[in-house]
Amino acid sequence: MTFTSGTFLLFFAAVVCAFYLLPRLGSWPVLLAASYAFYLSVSLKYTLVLVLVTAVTYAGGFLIARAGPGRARVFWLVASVCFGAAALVVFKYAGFVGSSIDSALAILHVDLHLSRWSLLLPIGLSFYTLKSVSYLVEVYRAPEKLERHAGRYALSISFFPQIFAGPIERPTHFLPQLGGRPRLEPGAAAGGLRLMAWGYFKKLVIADRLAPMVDQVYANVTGYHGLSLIATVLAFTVQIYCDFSGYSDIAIGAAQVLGFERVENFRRPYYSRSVQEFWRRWHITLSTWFRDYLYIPLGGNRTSRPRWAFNLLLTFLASGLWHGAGWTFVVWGGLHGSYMVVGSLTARGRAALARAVRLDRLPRVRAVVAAAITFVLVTLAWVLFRAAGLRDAYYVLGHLFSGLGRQLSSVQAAKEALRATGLTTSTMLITLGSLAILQLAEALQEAGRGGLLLARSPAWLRWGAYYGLVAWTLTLGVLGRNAFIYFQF
Amino acid sequence: MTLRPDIKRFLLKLLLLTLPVLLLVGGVNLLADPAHLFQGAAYEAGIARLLAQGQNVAGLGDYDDRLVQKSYVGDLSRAPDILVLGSSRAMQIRATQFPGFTFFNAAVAEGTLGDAEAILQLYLERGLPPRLVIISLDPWDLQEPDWLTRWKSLYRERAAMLAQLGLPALSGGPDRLAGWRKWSQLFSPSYFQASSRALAHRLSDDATSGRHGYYPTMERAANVPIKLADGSLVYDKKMREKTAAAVEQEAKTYAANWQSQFRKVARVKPAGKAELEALVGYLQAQGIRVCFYLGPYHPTVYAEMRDQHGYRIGGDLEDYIRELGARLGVTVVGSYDPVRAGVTAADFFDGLHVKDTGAAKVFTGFDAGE
Repeated sequence: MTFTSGTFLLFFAAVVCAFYLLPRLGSWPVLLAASYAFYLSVSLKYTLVLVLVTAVTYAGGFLIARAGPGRARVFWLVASVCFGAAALVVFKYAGFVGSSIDSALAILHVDLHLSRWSLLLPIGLSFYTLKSVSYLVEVYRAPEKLERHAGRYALSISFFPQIFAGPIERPTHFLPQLGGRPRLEPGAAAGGLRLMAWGYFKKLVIADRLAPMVDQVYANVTGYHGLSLIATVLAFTVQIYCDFSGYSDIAIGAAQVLGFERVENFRRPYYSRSVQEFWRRWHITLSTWFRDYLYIPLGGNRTSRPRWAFNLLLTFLASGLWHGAGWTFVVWGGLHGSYMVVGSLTARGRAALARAVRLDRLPRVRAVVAAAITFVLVTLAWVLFRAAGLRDAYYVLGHLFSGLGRQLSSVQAAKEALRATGLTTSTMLITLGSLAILQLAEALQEAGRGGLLLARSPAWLRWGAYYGLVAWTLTLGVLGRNAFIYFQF
Repeated sequence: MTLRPDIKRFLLKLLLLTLPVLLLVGGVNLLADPAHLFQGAAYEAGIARLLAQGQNVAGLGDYDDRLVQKSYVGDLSRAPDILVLGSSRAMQIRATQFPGFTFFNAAVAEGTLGDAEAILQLYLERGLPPRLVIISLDPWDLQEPDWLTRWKSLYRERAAMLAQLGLPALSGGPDRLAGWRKWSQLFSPSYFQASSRALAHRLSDDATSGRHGYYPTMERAANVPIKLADGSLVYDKKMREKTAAAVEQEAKTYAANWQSQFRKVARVKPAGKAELEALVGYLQAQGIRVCFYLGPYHPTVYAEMRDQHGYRIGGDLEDYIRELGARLGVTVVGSYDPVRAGVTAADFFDGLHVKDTGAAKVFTGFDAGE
């Protein structure tokens, strides 16, 4: 059962009804039952892994809180984190480590066939492991944050809107919201439903429409060059944003309908004027997780320059590895870390250059140029994220301009290059039209007028917009396609 | 229970927003019903009737191939000399390749050995055994558990055949929720899209297609797919007229996806072998001659698949089928290897579907009357 299935909509409606119609039960029992039912719909085996991680980290919280300050508490923190994250290490990285050793030993003509250790990753494991680790660290820092109620703690890890792909809401933020009886707040619920509808639009109409083209080309990159590759690389940049932010919108909206505070996970990342800003806007709950639990404990930026660069690179390499057990992800993380380091080291030089060409007098133009450069850097990095291997990524990046002149020499040649990717005229028109709607909405939000404009509009316009969005998604969305990209992580 | 006024307002608005959408979706789905979910098996019975009358049928929408076969056998009075069983990869085998014989191609989309058993049971139950059965074997046929499960439309027939073969009964019962699942499509958004397209097509279409969408035709090729009276399929114009470059591209994509698409096809399973051998033995005991057809793959795909780790169709599978053929006296026609089968890249629609020209090459020299 995924968010885009009709079954989920029925399930969600049933959960909302049960949640608000049975207030005497309190907030957690209905939601915990629903969350486990939701996860059980995927797999019983994976549910056992979830139970195990929950039990281990729940017990770990007690051991940490009860230990006195000092070494004992550190010991229990390390032990709990190790045990809590063990499932992630085994399921996600055993195959990767095995195949890497195999590759290294192949030079010596030794084949231990360690890649056979590869296991299927339980869906959502990467996400709920981070949640539970953040809980353990928070309890270590402030033992009074210990959650004694097993049911409530289990819910904070397994909450169904967030379990497959986040947002990675900290249990210490989530748990205090579970007090008291559920009470429907129409304004918040309406806001949640609007956000869900917007998420479905992004996912079904834009991301899933581009997916076949991206899948086709990345399955066989050597069959393409020039314009075909440029179009695909751009398509993936759009696809991954609409796919993941769409998922987040649905998840956050669903939680809001159930009375939980809105958590921000994306803030129009492609409007960023630097890679640093990009990471303040992209997958915010993950970025802040790595900032708070890795980068800052390593010393952050309150240290020497080389050490700061090391901290940053290490954090991004870890983030890359979290995204996927593969060298493409490691290099992707390293590339973003390098962007950040180089960006910081060249900040003065770039400012001087802007002054020299008098760009500093045109702040809007400078902002557009900076956003465009950032977009290009991020887009090139996505190639590593999507490619099946480093060799494919190298091929794509090396052939973006191969034969481009010939492909752009005539409209017919350009059309053929695009058609070769499987991109049809209807896909192009629908995607461009939908992107125009998305851009309009995001530009208004960026200017701080999005929600305000809608709230002040006359009822007929608001209702027209709602019906229009539903009709657009229903008629032009790619329905019945597969899961979200981030489920694989 | 008294509701707060603001909640009442909210629920009313929600109802005003969702009810028209639900009514629209349900109404269009019921009216257009492109997959004929709400009509029972009437749609498939109509197709079968036309085929049994010896007519070609064009303009077919989504339908259940298995139910067509069931109705078709019900309408038959005489068994064909030659019966072809298999998947879409066998649908280009035509009566014209077997002059002098009555012929019917009963291959079904995503067909498996289970489908072959069930369809044969339909013929045998009616006392209409064919003289020669050509079983098209695909790489996914000899493995278990069945991951292609469309044969469940003929669950009873397959179960009956397995009982005749003395094999263990099917694990898990028939799909009891099938009826519920069909009706759950009434409010399905994806079905709504298909229904909208079908409705628009119907409103703009000429009268030939009528209410069902399909119609009898004398043509043997058109813009739309045609199911010929011999049961074989003629693809639509777009599929037939693909450029060589487009076919090559599709073959490359299919080859690249081979591992993920067939990851469950790990190796030839003993239970699959036992089932095939029992079926052949049973048919031979009934006096029915059996022939195995190995549909060739596009050269690009075959090069990728031949030696795939874990499941070598060129080695494990084809070698086994040939050994079985020799052991049981079954003629083996064709090969997964296009070179061995005598076809070239020009004989393919895509990575796995050979054209009728290719199928004809494969059957060159085959004596159906032996």
